Amino acid sequence: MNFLRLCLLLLMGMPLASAGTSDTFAAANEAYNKRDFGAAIQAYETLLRRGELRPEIYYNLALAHEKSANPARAILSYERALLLAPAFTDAQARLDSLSGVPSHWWERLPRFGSRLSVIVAVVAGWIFLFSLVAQWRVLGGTRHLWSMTAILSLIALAIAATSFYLRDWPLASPDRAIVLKNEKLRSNFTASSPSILALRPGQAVEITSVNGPWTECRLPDQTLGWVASESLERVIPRT
Amino acid sequence: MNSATNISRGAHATGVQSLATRQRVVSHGACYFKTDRGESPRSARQWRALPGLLIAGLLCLFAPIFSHAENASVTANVSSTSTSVDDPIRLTITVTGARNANIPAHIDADGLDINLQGKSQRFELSSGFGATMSTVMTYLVTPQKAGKFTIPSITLETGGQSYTTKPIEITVEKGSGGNRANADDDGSTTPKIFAELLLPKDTAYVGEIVPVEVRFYFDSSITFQLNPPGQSPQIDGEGFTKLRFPQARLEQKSVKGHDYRVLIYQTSLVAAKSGDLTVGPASLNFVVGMPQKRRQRSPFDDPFGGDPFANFFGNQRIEREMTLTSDPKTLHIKQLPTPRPAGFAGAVGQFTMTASAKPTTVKIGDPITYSSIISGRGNFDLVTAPTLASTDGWRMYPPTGKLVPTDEMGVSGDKTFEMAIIPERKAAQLPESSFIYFDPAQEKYITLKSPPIALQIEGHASVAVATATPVPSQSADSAKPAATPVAKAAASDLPPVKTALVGEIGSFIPIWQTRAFWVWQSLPLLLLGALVWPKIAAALAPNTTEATRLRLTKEKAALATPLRSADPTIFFPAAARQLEINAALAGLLHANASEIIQSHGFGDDEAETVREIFARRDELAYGGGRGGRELSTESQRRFQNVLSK
Repeated sequence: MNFLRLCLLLLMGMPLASAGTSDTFAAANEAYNKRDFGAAIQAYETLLRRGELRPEIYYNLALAHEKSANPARAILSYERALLLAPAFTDAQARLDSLSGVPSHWWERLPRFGSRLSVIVAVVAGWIFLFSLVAQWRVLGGTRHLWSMTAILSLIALAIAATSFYLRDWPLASPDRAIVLKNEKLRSNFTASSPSILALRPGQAVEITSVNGPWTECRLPDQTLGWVASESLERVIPRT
Repeated sequence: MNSATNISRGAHATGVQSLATRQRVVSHGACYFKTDRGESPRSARQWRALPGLLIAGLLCLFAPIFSHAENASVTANVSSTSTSVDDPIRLTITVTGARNANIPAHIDADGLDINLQGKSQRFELSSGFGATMSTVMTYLVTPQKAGKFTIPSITLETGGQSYTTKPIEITVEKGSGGNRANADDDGSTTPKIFAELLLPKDTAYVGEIVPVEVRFYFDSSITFQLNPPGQSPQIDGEGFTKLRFPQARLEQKSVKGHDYRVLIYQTSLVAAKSGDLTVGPASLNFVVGMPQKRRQRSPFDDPFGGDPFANFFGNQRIEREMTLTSDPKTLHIKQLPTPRPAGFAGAVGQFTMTASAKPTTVKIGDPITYSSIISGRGNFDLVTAPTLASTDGWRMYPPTGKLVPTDEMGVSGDKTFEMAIIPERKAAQLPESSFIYFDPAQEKYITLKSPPIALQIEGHASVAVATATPVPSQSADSAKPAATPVAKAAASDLPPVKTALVGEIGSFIPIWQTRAFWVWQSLPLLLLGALVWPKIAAALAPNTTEATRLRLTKEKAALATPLRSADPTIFFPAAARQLEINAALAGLLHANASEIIQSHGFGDDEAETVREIFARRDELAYGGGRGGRELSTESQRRFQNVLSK
């Protein structure tokens, strides 16, 4: 009986929660349209803190950051929107216009998202294994049929794994971070150590280690250096 | 001087350096500081000292002979009395009939740099019991400037007496500025080293890419290396921009019958102003190794120094630091024709253009990425993004440009421009875009146009979009990434937000870190295990019925070959075993002939055949029988008839 009550409460509570989300979302959008970008950002972030990890919210938050002249936070939010919805073309177009055209050809290939790539790779892998076992005459069908299935599944596995490795993993890596403000890459973890080069807001880096208030990161050209941790934010937020 | 045997003459390598030219004398095939055998300098010195010690011992032995020396004389000779600036000659001072002459390391002379290069000694046996010792000192005379100069008298003191040489007059001609250099004193007039600046044309336009080639010719007998390594030629001149030099290449060329090794550098120039431009001279620093004539070496030459093996096997070389300089060239630069078409930004060369847009199905207010690629060869620095014919109804953001060069100089390549365009009202197509450049080959302005791109613009965006002031796509810094939109700051310029929350709440946790993922993985794993387990179980448990059946089936299959044999010793054991296996597979284990006949319900004839098979098998096994004759075809058919049942 108690279980039924709990289910009933949950069913009743879900629309209420959803209604709260919709109201906050609408209020945030209204603030944005009234050019009150600060209020809009606050409202979008409230939704995200509630666990409403939706690509639309990140996209709108990015627009608000973009309009409030904070391109680094805008890039960060567009990247998060794309992690949740890799086929989000609007977010991709705006991200490209902010951070520039990717330099490598594979970075322009369509993204399936790490989830889809992994699922396709895993399913293809299982089909491949079953095809191999079927050669042992434990399943119906001819050997020719199972051989073809094994080859096709292996091809699918290779494509999915390559897509994951080239497109999804570099963007979905938990160590990927965005530089939030003008900062200098330093040779050591002190403010007095020599500067290697200047980092621009919105630049993507890979975090390699953290030492107190300093973070060691690697640039796309493999340059290593230290940055103040407060100037970086991971694309995948730490929970 | 008596008619004595001249055993040796020549100088040895001592490595005396002149501050002016920093010439070094090395032996070909032997390094200055380390021998070819890879010895350390210390062990090399010890090795070199060995013949010197032997010679010193011999000198001590013959010391009484040399005590007869008398009538000392000093003479001075030069290898040539005329030379050119920076081309050294050799001064030889010979002291005959005396030893232990004082030797100046440097001789002061106006316009000449004279440095001791080496010392050698020789002795000449006279008829009778006597000998004359001679000391030969070799100086390197390097002219510093053109003109007539005199090597002054040189006074040497030996045996308490002074001897003076006669002054020698030298005529020094102007050098060719370094771009022509002859070999040392072999009398040849053929240039052995020279530089050349090549321009494929003598007229060009402002902004046009003009290829340039700089060649450095070295006679095949001359060694050379860049000084310092890795440098590129310097091309003097004003009014043009020099692009960077890619890696040089080395070729073998023949000029007027002479073989040269040619170091070739290629680059391009871009003229910045009109008029006659002087390009060059081009220059580059080298260390060149000039071959010296090979001479015999006396075992009495410098007994305590030098590398006897290197001097014996190799030619000597003089290494010199040298700046090779080409002649300058004149390039006439023309202004681009006027009037210049509107939209021309200064691109000069040969180009093609392609354009695309994505997505082509959008809503009003949604961004479209418009990409255009300008490919070809020319001054890509001034290649700007194509302009759209009409901007009315479109909101545009500054384009980003990125050049992907296809050559090392960045003169050829593909420059990609991407621009975010937002439709503000319905339209069937993107307006055509155009790019204007000047083609110096055709000597006219060319306009490239991309055809309009069909679009499907649906409905209205969630946020009303008012008319915004379009911004021309051509901007001064169009190659820089756009940090923020430059559309006019009005309420209408806000990009529309998403108003609907579609789909489920997402997660940043990778799928492979979720419990559900691994729970789902267990399903195919279990299914796979269920399929494979019987096979594995059968393989692991050989005493089960299934395992026995599999084993017997395999054994029966193996009997096929012996059952085709006509040899009774092979056939009958196989036939009996097959009958036993058939009975076992039917559930009758370890059956004899009678049980088999009974279980199969064979007729009399067949029963007789079965008994015969078993009897012949037993006879072969226990009776020592040889099997008899081969089985006839008729017999085989009879037996096979029974076995097949």
